Amino acid sequence: MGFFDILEKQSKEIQLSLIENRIKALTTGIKTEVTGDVLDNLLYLMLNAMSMLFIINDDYRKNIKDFTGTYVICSKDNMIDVSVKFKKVRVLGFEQDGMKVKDTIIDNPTSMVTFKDGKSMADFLLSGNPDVFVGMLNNQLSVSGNLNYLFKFVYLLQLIPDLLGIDEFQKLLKAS
Amino acid sequence: MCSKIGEVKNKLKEYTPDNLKEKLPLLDSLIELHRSVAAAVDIERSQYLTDHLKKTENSGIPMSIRRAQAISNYLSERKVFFHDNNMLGGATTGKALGAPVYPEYIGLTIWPELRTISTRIDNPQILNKEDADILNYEVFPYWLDRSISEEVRKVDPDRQSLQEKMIIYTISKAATISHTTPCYELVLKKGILGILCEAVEKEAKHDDDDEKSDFYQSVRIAMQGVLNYSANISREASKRANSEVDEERKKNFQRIAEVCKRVPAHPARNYIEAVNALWICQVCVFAENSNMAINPGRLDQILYPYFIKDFESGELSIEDALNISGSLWFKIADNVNLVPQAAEKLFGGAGAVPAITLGGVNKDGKDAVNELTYVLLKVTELLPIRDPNVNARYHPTENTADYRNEVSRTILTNKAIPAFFNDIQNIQTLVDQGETEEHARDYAVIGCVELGSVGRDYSASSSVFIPMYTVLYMALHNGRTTVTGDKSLWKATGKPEDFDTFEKFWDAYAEQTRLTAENAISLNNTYGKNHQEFLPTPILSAMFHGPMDKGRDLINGGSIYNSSGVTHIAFPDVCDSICAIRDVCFTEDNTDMQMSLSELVKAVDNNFEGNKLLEAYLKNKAPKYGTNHPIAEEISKRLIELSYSVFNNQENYRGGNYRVAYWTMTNHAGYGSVTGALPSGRRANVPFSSGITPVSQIDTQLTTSLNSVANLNSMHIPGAYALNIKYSPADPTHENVIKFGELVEGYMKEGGQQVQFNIQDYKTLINAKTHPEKYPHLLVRVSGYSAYFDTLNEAMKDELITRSQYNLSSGEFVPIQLEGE
Repeated sequence: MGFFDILEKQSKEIQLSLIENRIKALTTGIKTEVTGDVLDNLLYLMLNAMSMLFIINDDYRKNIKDFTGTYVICSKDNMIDVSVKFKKVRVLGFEQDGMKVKDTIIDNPTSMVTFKDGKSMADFLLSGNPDVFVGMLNNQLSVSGNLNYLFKFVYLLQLIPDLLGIDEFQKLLKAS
Repeated sequence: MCSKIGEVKNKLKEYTPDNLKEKLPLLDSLIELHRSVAAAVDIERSQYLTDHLKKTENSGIPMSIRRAQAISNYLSERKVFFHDNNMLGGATTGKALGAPVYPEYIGLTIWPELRTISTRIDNPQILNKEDADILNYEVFPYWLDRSISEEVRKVDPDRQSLQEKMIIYTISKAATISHTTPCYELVLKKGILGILCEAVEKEAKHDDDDEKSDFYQSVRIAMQGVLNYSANISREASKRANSEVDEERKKNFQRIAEVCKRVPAHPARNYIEAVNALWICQVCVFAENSNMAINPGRLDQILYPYFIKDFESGELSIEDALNISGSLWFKIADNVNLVPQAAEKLFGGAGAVPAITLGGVNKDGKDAVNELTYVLLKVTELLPIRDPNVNARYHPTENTADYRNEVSRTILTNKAIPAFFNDIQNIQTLVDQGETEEHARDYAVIGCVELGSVGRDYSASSSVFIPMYTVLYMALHNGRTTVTGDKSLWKATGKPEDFDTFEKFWDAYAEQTRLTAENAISLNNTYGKNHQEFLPTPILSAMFHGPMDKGRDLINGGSIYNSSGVTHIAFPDVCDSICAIRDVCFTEDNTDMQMSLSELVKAVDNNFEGNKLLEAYLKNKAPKYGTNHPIAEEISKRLIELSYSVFNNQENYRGGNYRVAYWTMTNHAGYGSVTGALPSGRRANVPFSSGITPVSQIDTQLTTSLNSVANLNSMHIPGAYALNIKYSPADPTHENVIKFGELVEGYMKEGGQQVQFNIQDYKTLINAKTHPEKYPHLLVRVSGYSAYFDTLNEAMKDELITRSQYNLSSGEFVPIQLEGE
């Protein structure tokens, strides 16, 4: 193994270590949010955790093979404005499927969810089994754009607690 | 009475629900199995369909052919299962009780639940990890932009978005081709080979006409799939017979092998061949179209020639006939719909609602009741299972009282099934819709309660759902809804203070009805056009009169009649609300309660908080539909007339019209549970009344209530309605049976179209809700179909509990007692 190969290997290990540390921090942040009173950052933390998990977890990344959906998640009270873009990203020198999260909205997303407010969003995320239709019927959220993309996104979200080693949200909530 | 009917009836007397185990051990074992098996998601069809469409994506082959190939491949390659000792070959899915995935419709709605659907609280459906992964990685991604709703969104995003608000209107074509009844008799007489040959000849004859040629080609391809499927059943049964050591089972497999080798390829020669051929056709129709209310039709008419020939020749005993017919009942009940959790909460508990129709008159208008009618009524009595949805046509002047009483006895015995349909009114209303008398007389019940001439009317009878409470809300809020912001949705039709007369308010209501109808019809037609492009139906088309002559698929107007159905949710509640508005706000001599419409609307929007007096008045004193009150009589008739005038002459995408109906399945309970208060005095989040049934717990005689319904103009309800009556339990004694039958007859003679019953009291239903483990298979009628009480959502259970109960002997209303055990 040449000098540059060793350097590259070390660089990758450092980057992976950084990502793992970042995931740990996000996990702690999510746990703190779920068990606390203020849930302002929950969505942002979960989406960031999602993007990190796509980098290091091959099985999870398999869910977004060649996937290019774009999403906007916002609230009527303007407390939440997040956009998510699934696209190819460069990771450790290679291009792979991934996602980008921004705290601004984008035009013409494939799918858009508007929560009534932050509480509605938190209730949805922490329900243990988020249901788009129930949310719509209860006036907690409205959707526009392609619903199938939203169903996929909710599925991806639901995998996160397990992947982060967080017990089901409901258990955490009960414990708190 | 025909002597054979007497002979058959005497033999049938030997069989009762109590001696099922001893007399019909096969059916007893099948009912045990049916009750013990859990629903499971079946992905096989979705895999074959998706794989084939992926492979042929850029092939240039027309969609009608690609889809026929896909379905044909699935039928040819799918695994053959024998889940039990049923006498018939063929199954809807590979599971004993399967929920097939239709990704082209609403299959993707379960995506968020792939990990949890097996363990969800409301009606879980088992899905193993391997199958969930296939759906997640292989099947669903293909349909992300291709499911029918997304195709529609590309054309009409605004109206599609309103559909997803869920309370403006519902277009069922997102989930189904819609309810209809094929003519399986065609297959029994011609055989699939006969149809295939016809398709080959016509394809050659029309090779210069692409549309016709493609259609016949698609039929040819699809029919080959049907043939391959039945041949595979035969082969597999033969293989099982060879390895089976149990003599009875060996014989059963041998018989299935022989039967499926013959039918449906060739015309049926005897009863079991006819029944199995019909069942295989139904399975193949489900392979092509989602399993929602595709109906076997008038079984006692279609199967009669085979039954009577075998019976008279001594080749078929009554015991055999009961076993074969009962086997068909269990086969029909082998599937349920795949639905997401929210839909279970709102509409849970439904089977696939295939309707069977018995009795009535024949094409000449004469009594069509025969020996097989009684056999199938006996099967209905012996097997209290959710599907099939059995319905009894009754012609008060042509059918005998003996038949009427036998239907009544069956209902009193199994406490829910069948429903009664009035041939006089229903035939007349179909003739009024332009059907010939002969065709109208050959109607079958579709799904819940809708009517359609068998194999002649591609009726799409559940196309549009109109939530009347939303229309009323818009009329009272200047065109706004609760889910579309502060602006009026269609049009500002006035604030409550603008209406200084009742007629001005009525005009606003009528205008909102018209605008809702216009938009719902527009979206339904857009869905229809997308069905034409993406979801042709060669198998179903081959089993209808018309398409093979015209060279045109059903969805392109190949059928003789081409109606669509529009049903209404919350008619009784909205009727009572409009009565209350007239009574309280626009009746000057009302000295008990008067207020402005603005005040009333404000009180309603506040859910009557601080207005107990008003709420009590509205509930107990205001005019109510079902009481023969003159205001209610007038308003109910005006509402019926309004919807008819708005919808009946509108044209659908196949050139047919829209037929108005009033049935609600369980929607009235689900939607009621998420809807605000109404001027009728109904509080927020309380279930609406079912179908056309007057609001519950009004102290009135049953006959008064029945008369109100019977007085509605059935010519203006061509899609039919569901009227639910709850009787206190009464034994099926001769006296009770006669009383029951006479009451139905009286109601029909007054003009009633349909009526269905629950023979249950408040206490039993309350106990069933509190202690579900004690009532695991309690069968009830909802609003159209039957369901197991414990599978219904809370709102629907409450609606069933609180439904008005009447005493059969006196017709008196029995006030609710809320204590259980």
